[in-house]
Amino acid sequence: MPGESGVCGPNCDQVSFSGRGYTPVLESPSPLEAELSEQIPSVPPGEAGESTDPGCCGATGSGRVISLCCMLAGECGIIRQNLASGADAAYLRALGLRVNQRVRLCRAAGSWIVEVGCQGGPACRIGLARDMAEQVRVEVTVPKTEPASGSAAGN
Amino acid sequence: MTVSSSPTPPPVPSTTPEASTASGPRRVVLLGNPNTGKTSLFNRLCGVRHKTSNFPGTTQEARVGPPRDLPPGSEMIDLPGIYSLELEQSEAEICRRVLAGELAPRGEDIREPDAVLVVADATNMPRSLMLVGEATRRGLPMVVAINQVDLSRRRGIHADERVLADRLGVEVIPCSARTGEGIDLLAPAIARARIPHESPPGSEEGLFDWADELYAEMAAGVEPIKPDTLTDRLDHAFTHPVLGLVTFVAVMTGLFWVIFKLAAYPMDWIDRIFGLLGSLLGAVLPAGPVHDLLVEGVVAGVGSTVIFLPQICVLFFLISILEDTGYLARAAFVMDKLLRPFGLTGHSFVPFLSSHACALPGIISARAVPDRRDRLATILAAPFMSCTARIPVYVLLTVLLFPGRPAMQAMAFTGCYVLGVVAGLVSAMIARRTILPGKSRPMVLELPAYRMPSVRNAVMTAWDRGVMFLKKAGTAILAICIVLWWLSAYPHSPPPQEAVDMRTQAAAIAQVDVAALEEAELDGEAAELVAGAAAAETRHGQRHSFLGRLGSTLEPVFKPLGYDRQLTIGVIASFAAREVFVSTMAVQVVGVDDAEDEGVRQAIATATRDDGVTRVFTPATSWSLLIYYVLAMQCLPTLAVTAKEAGSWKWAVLQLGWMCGVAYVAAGAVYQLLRLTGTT
Repeated sequence: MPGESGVCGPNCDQVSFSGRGYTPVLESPSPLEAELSEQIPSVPPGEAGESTDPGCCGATGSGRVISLCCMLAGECGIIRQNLASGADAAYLRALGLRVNQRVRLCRAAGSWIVEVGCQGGPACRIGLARDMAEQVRVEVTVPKTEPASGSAAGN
Repeated sequence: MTVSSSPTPPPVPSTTPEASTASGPRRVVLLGNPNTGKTSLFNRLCGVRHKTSNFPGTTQEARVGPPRDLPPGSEMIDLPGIYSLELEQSEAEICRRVLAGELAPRGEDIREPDAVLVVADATNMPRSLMLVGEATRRGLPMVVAINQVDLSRRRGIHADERVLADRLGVEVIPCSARTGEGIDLLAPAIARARIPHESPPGSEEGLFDWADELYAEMAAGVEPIKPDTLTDRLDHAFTHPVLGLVTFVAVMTGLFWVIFKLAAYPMDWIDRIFGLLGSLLGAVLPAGPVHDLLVEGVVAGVGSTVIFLPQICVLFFLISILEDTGYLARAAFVMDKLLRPFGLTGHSFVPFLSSHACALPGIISARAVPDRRDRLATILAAPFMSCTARIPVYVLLTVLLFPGRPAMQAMAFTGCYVLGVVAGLVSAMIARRTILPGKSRPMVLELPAYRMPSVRNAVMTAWDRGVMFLKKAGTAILAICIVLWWLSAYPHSPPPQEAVDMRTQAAAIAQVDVAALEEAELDGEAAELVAGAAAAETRHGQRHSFLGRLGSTLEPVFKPLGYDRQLTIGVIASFAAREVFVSTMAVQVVGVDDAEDEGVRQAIATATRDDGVTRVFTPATSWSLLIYYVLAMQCLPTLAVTAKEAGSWKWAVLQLGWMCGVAYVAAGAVYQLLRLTGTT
């Protein structure tokens, strides 16, 4: 289980607010993150080097931008895009699933449970059906290193 | 959140906005995210003195109560929990209109609130601040209550609420509706409510930035919290594809066991009280139509309604406890996967669960289903779930089918519940594919933190739902019972020759005049003859009543299902309320309505049709009846509630037609199949 030194686990960067979005305190942003942050809030899928195909589930490592349902349980990331339609997108944002928000995938077993607010502060958990999880695109910042216990692809 | 341990001093705003009126009637609205303990706070502030109505033109519940420690005539309105005022949801629209002074709960005058009490969640301030920001834009006097500080303290969540108070220029009160901490400070703060002197920029992006920046300031210099590994482990278990389902089945089994076990005692007391009341009224009132109306119509009618109250209260008490622990959201999440193939979402789970006690609260709780089509499908399917009113019928028929074999009785009983669930789900699927087409809205649900449930809150919920049940169902059922009583009691017919002969014989044995038989002290054969005569008169009266005549007329309609005249009368009489079937059959067969008596049950089991040879309850007719009562819509109050909640009587008519049609075809098919295979 992740989370020995922080909400996201031993490798999770602790962040603080800096007015707009979050700035990692312990780590510098990855080159891809820096590139993406200039394009926020609208990074068209496929323009940041990531695959828009849900088949990207096979990709590993940090910096990849994938849909939430392709993340592995225990992985942390930053929401980069919300592809849901109007009312659904607004609802997700109101729940806290908005661009630049830190998330940690807690469970991926047919339905997805994601912890929102992974900055060493208060967090809440949101359960999403697959249809909705597919609409949220996340840049993985802390990839899963151990064998996955709840692979999204497998469900 | 470790908000400061001592009460926050009133802020010194940079500007001096006028405090809202400190005396005179005040309207305070309670605004907050779901799962922030808003309703618990309302209960703390208003107690049981509140009333529940709804917002005009909507099915959204509105709770209005007089808050303690505010001037007489003040009222507090508990608004629906929302994540944002700007969402395209009916709940958000209601909140917007109430804050704008365009809407008020039914029965209240429409005007702008005098103050807004925004309930923020100490365990999730970043998101709460967004709603606080939206509320400040309304320019109304405001107080912020940071609730659940006990939980945030336990989790080591730190933030300084004085930053918020200074920035907004309003009072910010850390409190806990669970423990009562800080509650006393709320009323004085509301009385001094001020208009915030700061609000976020108008755009959504501006709001997010404002909330982020404000929270960063509040939480500056604090240690990061430790990870919540217990929640991870519990979530892993409760949402596991196998373990989650096993847990769900175990919890639900326990829930219903407790409901039936606990509710049995108060149900018995209520039964006795109404029995006693009927006897007292019967002894005091002179014989006649008024006597019959009050004893057999009103008292019996009210009694038949109130007897289900304990089950309703226990059900909602337990549901509230489960909801408070955080488990119910996980259960809905687990059920989402199972309900989705039927065109429903996990939101339908609670309405279906409640319908197993009574379809009325089940249908009412379908308000929580956000998508209209999902909600309508849920309302249409909910009455298929086996409610407690079906239990007496199930008991009678399973005992008749498997006399002296309790294991088989239990299996048949369980089968009825399973059949109801399957029929409901299949009906919902058909509705979603035909009259309510379209994809279900994907489920997105906040999973609240696990915590110890509040018994106080559960009691308040049970009380609230109980009162609502009595108001909504009691009046309708009472009216229906009176009509049914009238139909079965009138017109009066002269006693049958059989009864006259028995009375003459009894008078001869007792050596008294026939007219004096009622007053005479009889024993032995004479007493038996008089009792037999009374039963024969009741049977005769029932047969020649309006209801009996209707049964005889409709007998050919139910013949394919294997029902004779007596069973048809039973089915017709129980059209308004299923449980009436058992007492009607007892009256039909024996002439008394005590179906609990073993002798009466035996008489029902061996009763014969008008030919005097064929049994009324053969295995084929019993199975047919069992299937019919699982599937048929035999509850008029449910139809009334469906029409109200769905917004039109056409849905109630559709529900009635569909359920009775399915029941008729299924019961007919079962009877014909059994008849063909020689099981008669």
